Amino acid sequence: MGPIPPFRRYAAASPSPPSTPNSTSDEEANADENASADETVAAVLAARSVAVSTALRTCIGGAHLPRAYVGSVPGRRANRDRDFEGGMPRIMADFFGLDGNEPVYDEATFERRFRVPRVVFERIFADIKDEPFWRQTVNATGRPQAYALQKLVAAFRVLAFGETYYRADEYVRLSKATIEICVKKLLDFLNTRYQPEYLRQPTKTELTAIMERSAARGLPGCIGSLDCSH
Amino acid sequence: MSRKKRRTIVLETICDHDLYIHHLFVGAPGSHNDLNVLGQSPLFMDMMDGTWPPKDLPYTVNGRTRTMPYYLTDKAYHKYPVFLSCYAKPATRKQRIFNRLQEAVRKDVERLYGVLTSRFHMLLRPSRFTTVPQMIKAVKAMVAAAVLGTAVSCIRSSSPYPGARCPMYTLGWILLPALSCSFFKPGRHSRITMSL
Repeated sequence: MGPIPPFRRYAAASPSPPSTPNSTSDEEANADENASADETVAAVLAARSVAVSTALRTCIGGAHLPRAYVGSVPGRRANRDRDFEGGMPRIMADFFGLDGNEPVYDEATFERRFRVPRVVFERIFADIKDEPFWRQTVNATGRPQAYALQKLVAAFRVLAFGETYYRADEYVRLSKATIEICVKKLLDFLNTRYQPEYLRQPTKTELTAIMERSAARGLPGCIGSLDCSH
Repeated sequence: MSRKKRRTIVLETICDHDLYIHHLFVGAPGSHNDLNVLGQSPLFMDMMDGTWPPKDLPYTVNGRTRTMPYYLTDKAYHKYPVFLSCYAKPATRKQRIFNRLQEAVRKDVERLYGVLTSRFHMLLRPSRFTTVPQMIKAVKAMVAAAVLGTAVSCIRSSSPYPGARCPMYTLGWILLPALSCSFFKPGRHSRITMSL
């Protein structure tokens, strides 16, 4: 008996009947006794993992399971044809000036829209733009992804107006899922980067200044007001 | 469940006249009152340990020199040396005047919550972040961003007591036209307007 060709055993599972009509699983096992047990186990595991991942991805009968990120697979809605590249020039023209033109909105409007002064926004942008998540990447199809500024503007709009991710989508032209990730990454970044510097007890110099000031207001020795909010 | 019959978390802050936040403690459940929250807060731990506030900054009140700086609080807090609360039931004219002046200065922190929520509306809808750790993270991050903005406003308004703040802002930005202004008259009720 010659060597069993590879994938011979997989064919047995297919609907096409084996050559001998009355062959049973025992005979199959006898015929395959040359094959190592390891190969059989590997085949079973492979088939199982394919089945499980297919079921998860197409969500057949898996609606009750927590849905993992499944990405772009057959059976899911195609990407929306939003004017993806159009978002960035519009942001630039509105708030930062494009082609040497003045920005459409002035300083006061900038501060009103982003809820922080322009210096603060530019500082955050300068700090964040080279972080791994924020810098512009190229995806598997060779298409450039969102700009760092585009993502930052989207996240700021969500935080400033407390609006849903869809609303920012309409202006910034990024998908809801991207903006959601942007917001969470921005919060992480603000925490790790600015919290040690800007949420801390006052230094001795600052304390002296504060006490001097409250003395002028009629309460010497006061170093702040304490309260809770629900 | 908070006193407003909604599920909330509590935000404990200390701020000064510029609304510069020096202490932030988030995450206590909304059913806690101010005292419970204080008991959990790291600030109070420091106070009990004696590491905060510093004792080497003496000041003089009514001819008596003291070394314990204090925070202004409302009348819910205990009568500790580090807290100066107002009279719960002012009886005499003297007490009423004291209450009025104390509240006038304490309004800083009351104003802070209005400013914070109007700056970042997300603070009104923190439950969009679905979990409590996420909410805490979000609140801290937004407060840090707000403090960044406050630091700039302090410089722009050329406050008479700028302290030693915001070392990173360069001179170029101080020379910008001041969008906000502050009026400060010693000995009188001070009034400050800040651009939001």
